[in-house]
Amino acid sequence: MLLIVLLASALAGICLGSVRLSPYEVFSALASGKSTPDGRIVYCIRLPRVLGSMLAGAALALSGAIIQAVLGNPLASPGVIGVNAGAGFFTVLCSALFPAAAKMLPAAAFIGAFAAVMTVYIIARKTEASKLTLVLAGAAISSLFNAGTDTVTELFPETLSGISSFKIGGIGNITLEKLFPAWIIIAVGITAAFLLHNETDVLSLGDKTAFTLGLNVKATRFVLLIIAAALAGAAVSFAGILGFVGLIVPHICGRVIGYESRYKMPACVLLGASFVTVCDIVARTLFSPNEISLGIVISYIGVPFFIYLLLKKKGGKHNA
Amino acid sequence: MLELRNLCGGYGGKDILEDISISFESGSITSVIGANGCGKSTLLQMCCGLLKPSRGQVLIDGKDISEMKHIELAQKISYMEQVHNSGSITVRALASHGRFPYLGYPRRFTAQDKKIVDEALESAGVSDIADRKVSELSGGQRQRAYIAMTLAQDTDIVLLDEPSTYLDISSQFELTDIVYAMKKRGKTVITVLHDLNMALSNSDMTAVMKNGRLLGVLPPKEAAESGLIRQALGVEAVLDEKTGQYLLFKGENHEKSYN
Repeated sequence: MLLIVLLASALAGICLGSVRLSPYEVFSALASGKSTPDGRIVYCIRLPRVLGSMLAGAALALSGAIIQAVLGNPLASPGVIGVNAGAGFFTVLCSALFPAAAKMLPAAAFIGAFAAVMTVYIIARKTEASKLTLVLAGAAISSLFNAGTDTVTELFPETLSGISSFKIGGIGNITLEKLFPAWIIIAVGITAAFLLHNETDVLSLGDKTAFTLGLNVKATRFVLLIIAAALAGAAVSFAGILGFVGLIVPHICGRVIGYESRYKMPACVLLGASFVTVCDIVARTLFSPNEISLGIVISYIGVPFFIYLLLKKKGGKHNA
Repeated sequence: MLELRNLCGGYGGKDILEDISISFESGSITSVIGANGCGKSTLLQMCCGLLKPSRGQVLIDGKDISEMKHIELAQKISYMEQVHNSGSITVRALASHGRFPYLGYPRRFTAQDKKIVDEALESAGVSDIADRKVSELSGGQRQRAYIAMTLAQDTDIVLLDEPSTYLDISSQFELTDIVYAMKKRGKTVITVLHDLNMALSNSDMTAVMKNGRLLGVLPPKEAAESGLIRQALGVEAVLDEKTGQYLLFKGENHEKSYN
């Protein structure tokens, strides 16, 4: 089902845009290569965007699912625990200090994501790693990294003219080359997460129960957080800070598919990929031929849903 | 068999338990009783390795648990914690996690694992609700779902921390039946119980604690008659021979009513 949704949204993503192509034209363009105008549109513009949206959506949604499971907190996500902000800060810092080295941006984003997750993890570990502490530490780290991003932006206004789109999140200038290191990391991250689905579920039973079932709780939590950071960092490195995907997609999947990771994780990958692809179609067709940033569209859809979740959670508490 | 030797320890470098030595026989039910904060839960958590003793040893069949592999420990001793952290997974999925210590990589369930899970669901009386989500169940059903997980873990030693807290009275009796069935299969069951009457009427032995020390380990009737219960909890317990239940009195009231 979700696979069909993903394929359909991918096809729609390649067809739709300022120049509209029919599915038939897309296939003939794919067959003819870059020699025809349609072929150039498909290979140089549409395909990178669709692949970029799919990778970013899949990575952020799975990262969110892992973080929610590991922290046992439905309101956690790569955005909430500071992973996105950390990746963003290091990307901005790198492009300010080494403007020539655009190839280093993905590496910088990974370092930032790891730095954020490690800081959160170490703070939490010192306080015996309670779930609340992890989220609070994440919120603090997130603010700090965002302040850092703003500082760099103010100190280097010229070199960072493109940064506003980065902070909103968007994949307007994406090329297949820019996706190169990121897609490998996302593929490895998804595979690693799938292999650890059982551990993830045991961990979400709570630390004590997980321990007495023979799980190495601290190591498992650490490895899963590293995977989540790698996934989110890879996505941020080419798509900027896309909020809410990592929060709402795991929620929808949890409600519809259930919370068993062996079903939920693949569902998050597929739905996350479809969701961002569809949002990107909206971003470039809504005010066509002008484009708005992908991050804006995700926020328009994501924020009302987030508020709905907050209200719903409060209602749930009263019922319990 | 589980044996504690001169066990001391607690949280954050501060010892709660002081010099506890006790052995729990196979095929017996032992209730740990004592006032709140006397170290009952600490004791259980130390038995299964959740807390490390500052001094002394925990031995399973003569082997120190600090020398055992974590996964090996999980195959020998299970622990049902008081607060349940269940997400919206099904009862069957929860019970299946009980097989986690036995799954090698790549974590595949064998036919044998599935059979054990089915039996555990059956014994815990949750076969009919196996496909429902744990979060949608009543307190009693949820507790039985967790018991199914503990049964599926199929360890020789079973630790139950306040298993009856959220149960209504009929669910409490069902729980008692399940615990007796574990005993029959030769398991060592150790429970911490709030309900003194339930602890006294359904245990082979009572381990009576006060302020982190073990006052004594006696069969319930003797614990009541020797005044150990009074010493620990400030109440008298008198066996009603007809029902096998205990009548509980606050110390001085008891004196008055019998004088």
